[in-house]
Amino acid sequence: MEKTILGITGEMAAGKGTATEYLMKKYGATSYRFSTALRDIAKRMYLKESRENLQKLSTVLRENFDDNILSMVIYKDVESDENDLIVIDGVRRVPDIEFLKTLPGFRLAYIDADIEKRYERIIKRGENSDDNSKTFEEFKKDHQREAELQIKDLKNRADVIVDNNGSFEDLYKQLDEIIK
Amino acid sequence: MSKIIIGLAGEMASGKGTVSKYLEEKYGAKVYRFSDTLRNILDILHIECNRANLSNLSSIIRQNFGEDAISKAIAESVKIDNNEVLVVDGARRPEDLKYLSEIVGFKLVFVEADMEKRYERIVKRGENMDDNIKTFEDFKKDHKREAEFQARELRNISDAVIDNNGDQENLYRQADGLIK
Repeated sequence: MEKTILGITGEMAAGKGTATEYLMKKYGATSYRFSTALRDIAKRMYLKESRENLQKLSTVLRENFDDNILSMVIYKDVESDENDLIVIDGVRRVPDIEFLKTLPGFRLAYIDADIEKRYERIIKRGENSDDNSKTFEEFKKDHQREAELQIKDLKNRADVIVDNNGSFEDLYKQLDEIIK
Repeated sequence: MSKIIIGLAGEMASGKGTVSKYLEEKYGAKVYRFSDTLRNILDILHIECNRANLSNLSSIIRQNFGEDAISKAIAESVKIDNNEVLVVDGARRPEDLKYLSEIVGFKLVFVEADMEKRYERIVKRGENMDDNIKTFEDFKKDHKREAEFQARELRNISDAVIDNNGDQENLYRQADGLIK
């Protein structure tokens, strides 16, 4: 099998984590997240891994070293990974994609689900402390943030779009297709 | 024996490295450097560990996470280390010691040597590329920099001063005195 590097993107609660987990379990994929390096740094500094600290780290590192610094880190980590299937979860910005596209074997998968479905899921999982109590209106407003707006742009640049309005089985079948 | 934590300060080429190495070999000391945290972060980011990058990273961390952020990180590392003799090499400014000095068993040791002696040594070791070609005048000028100025201030708050104008035996005997 040739090396496949799959970037996974999609809006909040679209199913990126579920897709990544499936690929890891079924195909032994290794996975990388944009936040991994930031979390490692926070740990090294004994800083709390709060959203605020991670965001701040990301901003100051990009401002002072290189706007693409986190893509560069992932690029190098992925380049030296011998695994046949590598998943890069949480690609959010267009420049990140431009950068990662230069990796041989890279493809971008956009996971798509209706806003109502995603709202249902985000309430259920409660990953962030305020997720459980979020109203649908608040959830809609979250989509206006810069980071989320950029994600929609990524849909046009995706090599494949995965529809995740159905069941787990539907999702898994589409992922199997991508890997074949 | 209770835990001994020795913070080493002193001007360029005064013999801090020689003292740490001696304590490491003779007493099994675990040696930390103030730059360890920064070096680890650069490693995580796959950025080259040169003096410019270290200094850039150091300022952005201090600006964004507090002047004492690096001092806090090293103090945490030292706190959880069970070794009986610990050396923290390369304190440069009083803030570096803010958290370390609160740990029981900590003492700050200032290693001292005349400028001519230190110049001789720095030429001999050629640690940094540009040190080899430095004239005595350049070397003297380096001492006017803020960082070196602050390093000298640590002498006033040190718990012990080691005179390193003599030979190595002389230095080692004084280092032994720190442990007993």
